[in-house]
Amino acid sequence: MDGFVSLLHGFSVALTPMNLLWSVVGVTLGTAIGVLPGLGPALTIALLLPITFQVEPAAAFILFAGIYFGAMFGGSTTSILINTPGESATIVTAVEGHKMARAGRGGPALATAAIGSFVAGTIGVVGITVLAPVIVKWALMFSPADYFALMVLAFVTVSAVLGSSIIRGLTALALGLLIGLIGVDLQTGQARFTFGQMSLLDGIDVVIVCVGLFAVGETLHLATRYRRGKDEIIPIKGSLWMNGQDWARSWKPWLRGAAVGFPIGAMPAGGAEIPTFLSYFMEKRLSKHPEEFGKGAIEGVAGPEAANNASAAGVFVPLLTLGLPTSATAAIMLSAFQSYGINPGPQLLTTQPDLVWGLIASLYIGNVMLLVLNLPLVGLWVQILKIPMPYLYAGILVFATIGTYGISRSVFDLGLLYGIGILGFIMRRYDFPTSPVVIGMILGPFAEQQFRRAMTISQGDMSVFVTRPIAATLLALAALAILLPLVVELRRSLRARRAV
Amino acid sequence: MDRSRLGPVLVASAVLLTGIGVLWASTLIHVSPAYARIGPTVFPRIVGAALAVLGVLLLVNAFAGRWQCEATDAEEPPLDLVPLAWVAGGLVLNLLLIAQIGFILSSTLMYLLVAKGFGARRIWLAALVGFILALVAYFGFAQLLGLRMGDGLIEDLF
Repeated sequence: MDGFVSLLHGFSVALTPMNLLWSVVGVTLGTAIGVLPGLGPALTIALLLPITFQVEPAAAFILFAGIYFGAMFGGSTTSILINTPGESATIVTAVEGHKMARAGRGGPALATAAIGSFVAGTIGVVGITVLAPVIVKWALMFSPADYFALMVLAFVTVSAVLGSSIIRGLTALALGLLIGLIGVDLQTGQARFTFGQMSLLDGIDVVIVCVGLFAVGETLHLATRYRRGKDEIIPIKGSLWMNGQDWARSWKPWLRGAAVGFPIGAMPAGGAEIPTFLSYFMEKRLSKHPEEFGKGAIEGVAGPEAANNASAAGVFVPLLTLGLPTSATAAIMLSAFQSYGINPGPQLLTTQPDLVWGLIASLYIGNVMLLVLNLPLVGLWVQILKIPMPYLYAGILVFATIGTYGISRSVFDLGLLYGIGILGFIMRRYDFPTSPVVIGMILGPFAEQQFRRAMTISQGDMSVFVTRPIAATLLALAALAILLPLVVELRRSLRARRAV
Repeated sequence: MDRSRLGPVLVASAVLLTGIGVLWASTLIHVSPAYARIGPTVFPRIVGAALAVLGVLLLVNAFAGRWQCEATDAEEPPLDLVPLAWVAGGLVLNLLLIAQIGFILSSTLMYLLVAKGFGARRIWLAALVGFILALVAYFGFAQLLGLRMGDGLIEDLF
């Protein structure tokens, strides 16, 4: 029960007026960003990374956690009201929620999403509190070789799980690893892939990559297709509140969704799509009204939304205990840790208890704030969607520019930003997932470090990766995760070729 | 080759060429003998080889016509290039001017072109909004985050 004592301590950190203020700012900003289609928490946190030079770590992470959960809430609002899922995790919400909104039940749909997220967030925070110390104990046994194997597994699952094609997912990952390699090698001081450019010696800033991919790329993509038609915002009619029947039909899906979402989020694989889809099909199967699914069943919003939020909380388990980010947002938080000179890992819980438990407590506080501040104000958030598109996207590019040019005042970096924006646009057109780029770029240098450390310990003997049981198991899992879908995909592609 | 395959083939070839380029560039990294076994070129080589292999696999997919995405979807309309040109023009102009005339004016110009690309009708209004936004961003954002935005025509007035 040590964890809960620590959690109480965390609340004492997070509940200072100043930190509460950071949390309010975070959830408000996060919701605003989340409501806008195509913009997400990863981009927002990346743009705000320079704040780590200004404020103490606890405050920064409380702000980031608020943005993370706020953006999720905002994303589901958009899915329900205009049927434009901002991210793949809210696709299912859009299916049922938008139907509910069309039937004039947008209010209860938003309410069940918000309350479900709150319930799931609560379970998630309890889950982190229980699980984190256990994983830390286990992780302390990890040797560098085991760490390297774990990172390989995370790389593979992150790129295999996200997106429609494992080859394209791995390509995105390799691109990210390549970007992470640019700059001076920390162990030998050798410059790699800098081509004599001074600006590249420090490597490419994560802000440039995130903002380029997510903001510039998205804007370019939208520019080529916005004239094809407008999304219609469904006004919220009638009561915002759920009636007795809504409650009766929602509470079980919330609990089941959280029970599915948290463990999957906490695994080194991560990804919120799988739990949301799992929860959706589970609810469809268990529902007493399966015929309503596809026509606006409240269970189909309640379950997946809870699963989404619980898995988002779960992502903090590998991040805080192993230093292993499994989503783009988590990867950017890892680089925020780096910017403070803090190395997340098993030691973090003992060396930075204020920070870790303050962060976990603020996840919870963020959830409460979303419930009490954002749900009643949902009418206000929807107004954001009425900003005319030309002003909105031109503004996004101004902020992208200031976020990049402001760090370095370098025109070269600005060119890099726009160049990566073009890359993001092409990746979007050809359906490459972008999160593996960010994860590969940030986690890649850590993986290389662990690899070389393992090699130094074993004096260059590669067999450590197969003789250590933990490393061997993790690597075998990684190999399986690549080979199985790859074989299936290649067979299908060869068959399609024969058919032509 | 039809339109739906040309794009993927080009993208796959770009990945393959990047992989080959990375493999070549890793030979340029200087390795001191002390680190010869597990030196700074090991990871670059792995990444380069991975990109090359993935490029070949992507080429197979591209030629087989099994690459479902927006660019190959027959139901998707072709790229709408006019707005893209306005937006790209705004970015290029910003790149060329920001060091000369400063962030505020340069970004206002970019704002104008991007807004035009996205179909803004009242240009003067877009210019005004862009200017105010750049001004607010310059002072607000820069103060809050401690960013140094440099000098420029407007910046020097204050």
